[in-house]
Amino acid sequence: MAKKNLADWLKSATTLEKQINEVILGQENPIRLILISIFARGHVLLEGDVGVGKTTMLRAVARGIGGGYERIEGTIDLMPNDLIYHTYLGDDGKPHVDKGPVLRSGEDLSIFFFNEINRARPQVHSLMLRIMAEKTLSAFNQEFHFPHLIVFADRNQVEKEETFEIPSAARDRFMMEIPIVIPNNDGLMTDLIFDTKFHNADELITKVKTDQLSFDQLNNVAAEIQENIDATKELEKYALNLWKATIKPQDFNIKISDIDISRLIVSGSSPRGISMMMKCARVNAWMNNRSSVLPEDIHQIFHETIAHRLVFNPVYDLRRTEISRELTTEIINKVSAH
Amino acid sequence: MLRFIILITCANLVFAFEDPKKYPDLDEEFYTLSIIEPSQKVGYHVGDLVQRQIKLTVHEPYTLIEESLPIVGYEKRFRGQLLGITLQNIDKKIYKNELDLLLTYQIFTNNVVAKPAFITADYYRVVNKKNPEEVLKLRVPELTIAVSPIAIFGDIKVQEDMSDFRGPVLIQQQQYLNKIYISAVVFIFSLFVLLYVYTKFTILPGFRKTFLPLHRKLKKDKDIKIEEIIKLIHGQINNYSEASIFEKNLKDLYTKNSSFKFIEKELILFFKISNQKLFTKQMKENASVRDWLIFFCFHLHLCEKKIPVKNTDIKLIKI
Repeated sequence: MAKKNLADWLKSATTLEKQINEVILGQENPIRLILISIFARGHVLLEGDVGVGKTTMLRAVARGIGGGYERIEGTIDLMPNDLIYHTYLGDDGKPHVDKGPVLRSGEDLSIFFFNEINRARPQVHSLMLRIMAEKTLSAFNQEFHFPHLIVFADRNQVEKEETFEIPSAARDRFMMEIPIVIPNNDGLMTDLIFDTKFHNADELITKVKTDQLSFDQLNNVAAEIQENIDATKELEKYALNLWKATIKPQDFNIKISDIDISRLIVSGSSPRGISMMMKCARVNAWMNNRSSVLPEDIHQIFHETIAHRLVFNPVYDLRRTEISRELTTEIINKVSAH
Repeated sequence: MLRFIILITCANLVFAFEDPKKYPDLDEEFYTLSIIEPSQKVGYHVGDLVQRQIKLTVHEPYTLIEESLPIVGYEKRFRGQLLGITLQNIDKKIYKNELDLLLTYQIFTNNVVAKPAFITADYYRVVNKKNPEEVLKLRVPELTIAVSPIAIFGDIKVQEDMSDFRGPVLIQQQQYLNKIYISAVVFIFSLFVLLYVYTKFTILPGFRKTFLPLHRKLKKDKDIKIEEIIKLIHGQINNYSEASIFEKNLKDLYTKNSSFKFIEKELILFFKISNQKLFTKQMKENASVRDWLIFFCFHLHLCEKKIPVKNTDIKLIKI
């Protein structure tokens, strides 16, 4: 296949986005954000109730970009080795060892979906975080590499029983946390109930053409996007102010009702967080067919790239979802870009 | 207790209505009385002050009873009716047996009936120092003045009241005309001020000072660059709306003042120009854009003052 330039890649990305939107109804923004994370090469936390279409969406994306797609369910008795291998007695009566979900696709693993990650124990988190950070794994006296891997993890924020919350340091390794909610549109909801094509997910995702984005070239494309999309001094200044506002919101006259803003933040966004935000903003600018980042590109991904990194005072942590949304909205509203 | 109070009240009433005329007259050889009356006798109005100066010397063995002097605030009656003239102030100087009194009365009557007004006669009492039982009275004569200029029967004769220092009592219309002229000028000036405040040209210190001062500054400063203009306009829009306004949250600006909706197309164009200049660096210095930004700033000012911008006044340029 001839080498594609960025414009060709954009065409392919837009086509894929359109196809996925036809398969998954009412999730335009999450789909755009997932594509951004794929082109920014960052891992994603998905937040949402059960049955809203997270798995179908990821399977559709995986089909579009090609490569291996693996999935595992987080349970309280899940152990790290369950990700790597499983043993069984074969028909021949002898013990056998098969590769687990992480190793099964080898280097071609492109999307790994960890469902309900907060039900798994911290040992499992630890292994997963290493794979996410280093994209390598040592097993069977061998080093395995996963150069094209992006991890999607889902955590159920509603149920707290028998769960192990992902610590803030671990959350920081995810590029985005994307909320997925049921579409608030009667027409779409009716389609989901009565249009039978949405009842069979396996059949549904076949409408997304396979291997449209060539997973093994995405790392190079991502680097090219970051090199080619400009950010002016004005925008750098704006991003810097946004970062400062996540650390000391009171300095930017940010107010949230019933919250003592000076006590809210224990730790603002990390340098890694803010650089991931800029990476995503560049990809967003590219997906909007621009060669420079605008403040609006940052706004579109600001909450999803920053909110999950903020460490709140424990007094306010129980209302985290609601407060973080208000805080990021206020930051956008109060920090001037000009 | 109640009986005591009634007794005291009755005693006071008796004293209050004590008739000074019951005392015998003091012989003229024992006192010297001179009164300086006000030169004006007629034409008094409500609120005017009338002053009498009384100089009295009481000779030995008699001495003046100070308590018999007139009381401030006491309104005199004539034949049981209030006169409408009240003693407002008494300036009293006593040196040995000489008394110098300056009595200031104020007129409270506007009786339109042509009749004289009185400051009735006063009776001061004296006592024999050698014989305290001997109490005598001396009479300070009444002063008759006219409240109305036509009240001239009786003691008042206008022809005798023609002082060179005080003109004849006439209704002077000039002073009222002057007041009317001044009021009219002030009124017309106020209308102009009001008109100015509610027009597009307003610029008052501390009053709606967001966009017009900026517009004037941009018009004057010919060297200012487009980038600077854009930043200044953004700054004022943000100040005005108390938020960071982008194309996506323009509704926040409309919530603050819905008049900005009239220039929505211009606002969107401004954000496009701003993005091109500040964040893409694709725009070079351009006189037409510069002029448009200044024009746009003036429209912002009109919206701030809630003066509707007509559709025909909306001007868009190609960038």
